[in-house]
Amino acid sequence: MNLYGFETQRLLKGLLTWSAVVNLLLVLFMAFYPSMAESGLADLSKYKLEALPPAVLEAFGLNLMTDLSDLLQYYAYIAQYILMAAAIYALILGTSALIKEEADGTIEFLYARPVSRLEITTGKLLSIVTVLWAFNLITFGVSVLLLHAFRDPGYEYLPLTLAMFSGMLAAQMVFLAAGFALSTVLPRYSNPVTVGLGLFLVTYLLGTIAAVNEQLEWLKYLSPYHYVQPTNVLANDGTVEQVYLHIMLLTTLTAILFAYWRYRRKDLLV
Amino acid sequence: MAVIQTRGLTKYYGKSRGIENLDLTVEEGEFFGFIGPNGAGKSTTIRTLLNFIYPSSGEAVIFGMDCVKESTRIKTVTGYVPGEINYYREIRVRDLLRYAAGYYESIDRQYLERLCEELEIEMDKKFGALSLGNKKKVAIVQALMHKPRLLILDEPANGLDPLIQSRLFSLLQEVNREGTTIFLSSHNLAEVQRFCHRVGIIREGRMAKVNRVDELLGTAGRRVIVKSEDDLTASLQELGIKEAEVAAGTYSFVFDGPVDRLIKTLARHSIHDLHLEEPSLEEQFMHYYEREEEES
Repeated sequence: MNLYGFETQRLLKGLLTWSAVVNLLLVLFMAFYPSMAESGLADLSKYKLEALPPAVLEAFGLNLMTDLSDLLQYYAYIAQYILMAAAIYALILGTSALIKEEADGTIEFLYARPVSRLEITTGKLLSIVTVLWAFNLITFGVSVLLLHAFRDPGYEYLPLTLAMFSGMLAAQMVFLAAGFALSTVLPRYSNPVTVGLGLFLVTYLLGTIAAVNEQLEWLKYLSPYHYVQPTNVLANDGTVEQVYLHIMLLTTLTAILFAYWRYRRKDLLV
Repeated sequence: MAVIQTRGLTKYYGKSRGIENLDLTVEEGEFFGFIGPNGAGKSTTIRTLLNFIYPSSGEAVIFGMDCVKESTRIKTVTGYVPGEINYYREIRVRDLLRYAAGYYESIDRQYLERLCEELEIEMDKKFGALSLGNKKKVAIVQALMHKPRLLILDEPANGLDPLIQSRLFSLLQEVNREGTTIFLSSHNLAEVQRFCHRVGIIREGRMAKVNRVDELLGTAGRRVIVKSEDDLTASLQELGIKEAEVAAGTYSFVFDGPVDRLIKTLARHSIHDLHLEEPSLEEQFMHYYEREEEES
């Protein structure tokens, strides 16, 4: 508990920064909604969308059915960017978890204490999970407040918003676990931010290629982002495909088990 | 009772040698000096003992507990001061020490406070803002706070000014007198000579020699420089000295017998000046290393 508390506290500053930036952008984007909802502008945006090739629309998570004057559809479009930020944050959290102490040399402090590798792994994993969930909770709270403020009377938004967030959180857990596993094998001077950004962009790009190229459609399995893209979840009445759910659960568990196994016998070189 | 015991302890980093078949025994209550040049395997030995790294073969035992399987238990009775101290930079010293204390079942608060006072720890500064000497002091407090029965130090005096060094060593002597075994790795031979009971010399990953410091020095003999107008040749022969440099009434020679006999023999003459040089471990060490190198 000592370790968990200390680690969580150390991540608090980052959590506040990420939450502040992401939610500020969210508020900013949502502030445009009332003008988007005016029918004239909605038509205009539709014309513009029609001018673009369908593949490009797909890549942006849009299609000709997208109606940005609908509150939830507008929100889902913005939520894609939240998901991108959250995925990168999850990767950075995971990747730094074990490796940062080795790069900084602070691990010598920790290893001199009566604490096992197993306890270190568990404490650190729990603390990054806590922080990631807190980030999602904050963003969910702000989203609900914004949706509530902009909704027409009687407009139901809560179940679908919750569904979008659950999907997003599942994908973030995959990224978190993958980063955590990487954290046990990367050379100790790797930069978690570069690794996190790089890894996300690669998977995102593969998913995008899959979306626009039918022959390479199988690539979509390599991009957790696309499993739970909020616009898709919304279009599917708040569901994520079963196969994706299974893949996410399996990868998350495998990555975590791998991290435990690898860290248990790792040589610490300072 | 042996506090530290290693048998055939070996660590390879890939193909490069860390330590090889290292056999080492440190007895309870000892102030043990572990010396050797850089790259000889001092840090590798310490890191294996503390299970930062896993041995390739052989075994190490501390207080009868296996260094790999029972490392967590070993650390409840062991303190460690690393060579380079990189603790959490953004954390205040007070919080850092509180965090460290949280890992032990019971901490003697008064003892901890006394330590901090004695070493003049700056509790409210962030760790990263401390000078090297002050970081070292914090490292010593965190290593001693739980009253360990074994204290392992990796080149603790490196980069410290003489004042802090002497404080550090008087503190180490104090805890040693109270029963804590001290394992000190160093390449500063003067400090090992002054404080340690026994030394182990490590060379290219192997224990080359383990000896009592006084025995090691006893075999070295003292350098004696005497100024006298008398002819001392006969007296020197009587003392069993075969080689002496003589120049303008100054005799210089090495004497390894009792000092008392030397003085009483020389007292028959009129002596202008007498100079006795402490034997130094450094001479022994260099001598030893050079001989080994000639042999190999």
